[in-house]
Amino acid sequence: MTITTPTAPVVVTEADLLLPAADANPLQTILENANHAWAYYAPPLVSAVYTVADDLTRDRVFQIPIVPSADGIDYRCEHHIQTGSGTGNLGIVVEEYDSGWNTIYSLTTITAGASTWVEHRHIATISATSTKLRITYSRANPDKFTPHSVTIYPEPGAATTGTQSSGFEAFDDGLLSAAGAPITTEHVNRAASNMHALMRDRRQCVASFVQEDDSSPGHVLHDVGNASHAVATDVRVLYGRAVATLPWQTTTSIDVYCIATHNHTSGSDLVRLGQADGAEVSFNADGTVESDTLTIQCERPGALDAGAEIVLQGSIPASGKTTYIHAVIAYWRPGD
Amino acid sequence: MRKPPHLNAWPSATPKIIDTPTAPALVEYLATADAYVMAGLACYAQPALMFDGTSGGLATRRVAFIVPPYSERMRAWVTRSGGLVDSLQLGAQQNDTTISAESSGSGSLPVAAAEVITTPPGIAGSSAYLGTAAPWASVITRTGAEDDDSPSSAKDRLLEMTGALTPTVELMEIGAAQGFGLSVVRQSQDLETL
Repeated sequence: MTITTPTAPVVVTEADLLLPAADANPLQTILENANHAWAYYAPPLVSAVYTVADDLTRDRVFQIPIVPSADGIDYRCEHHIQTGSGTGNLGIVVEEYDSGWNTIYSLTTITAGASTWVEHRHIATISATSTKLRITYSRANPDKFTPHSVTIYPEPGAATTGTQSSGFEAFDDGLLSAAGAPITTEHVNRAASNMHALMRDRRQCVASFVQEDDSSPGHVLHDVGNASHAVATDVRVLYGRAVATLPWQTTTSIDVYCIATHNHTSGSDLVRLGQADGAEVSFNADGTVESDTLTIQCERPGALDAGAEIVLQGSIPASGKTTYIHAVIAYWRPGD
Repeated sequence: MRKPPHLNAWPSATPKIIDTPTAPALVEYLATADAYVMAGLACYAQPALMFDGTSGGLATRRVAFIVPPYSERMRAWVTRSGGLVDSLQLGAQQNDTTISAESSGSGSLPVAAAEVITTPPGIAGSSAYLGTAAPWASVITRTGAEDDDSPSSAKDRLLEMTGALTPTVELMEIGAAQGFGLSVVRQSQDLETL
């Protein structure tokens, strides 16, 4: 009665599949490969390069909407920070928000030399009910630094017994390895259904744009409507263009999440994310996590490198007013 | 009491698993299950990263990517516009975008100069990153398709990946870009060799 989680999938050869006897293998191998997927299938939940003022001493705070796994699993967080002068330690605090903020990682003693790159990797458990993360970077003394990016991907460890909220149920070799044990339909189905459950549960970041979000609008590096970027109310300011890859897809949909604010009494459709020459969704910049679903018609449809050009735009709520885009992130999952 | 199920409650009047419970059926079912798992393991989207890679000290950015299993070569989509570091006169040529990837070099950053992938911007001196830039003020180019994993000098070429059965974390350093996205363009054709 063992749940085995291979560190790498075992390749089932064509010969293995050719007229197999009613034996545990290759079915057991296939099931254990699905167990492997539990531990190693790691599409990034967050992949973002910060748009942020560089080489400052003050704390930098970012909020990023998330749709974490229903299984409340561990995630690996990888931060890249560039230091300026001084040798003050770096600090990172990661909080998740469900009904309130909870700290899921905190360390203020990250050794950092002067004028160098610092990579900091850690594990944080993100609860299934979290709707956004807040990541705070700091440096002692204070010395100058620039937070560059964060990548967050699943790293839940070995598969464990029981049915998970995602629908994944780890394979235990007990029934299959017993002498003369039957090969049941459930076993055959479970490999594919487990993989399916993971693909549907672990959302994949397909677009991102992140700026500071610390209740000080002046800290947002690029806003829409200040003196340097003054625009008329009907002008859309281009914030970003980049290409997302959605392998093998033709038409699919992505879920877009946005946190933005403005300094007017009301506003609507101030932030827009869309596909170039395609559909778009818009958000009101009301300070909450807003969301919408965007249909994507892929270029190079059905190909390994199928994808779409994503365009982010912002506009102002009224003449002389300003919109602040803090975070826009989009998620995809196979089958959507 | 449990009523017997009606025949029309089944998805098929003669479910395949009952119809052909012999070896060929096992082959079909097992192959399907295996293919689903192995395909799913490599099912990764690649994000469209939008950022300021122009202002002040932001001209060089570092970020980690998750490279899906079986990947041998990738290409990048690079977004370029004008900016402070490239505020050239109209018609002047901007700096190349540079990409340093661990797998393309020594396994860590920085990589040897010859391993740096350089991509012409495809745009000549223009305005600032934001301003009132219209969409035509930025250009997206795709990195080169030449397969040269031992270049004698920096060039525009495919990004070489390790090709593995498990996903790998690939740190990249990107110079002079305002948007970035990756796509796998070649997977291993024989998983038994990985």
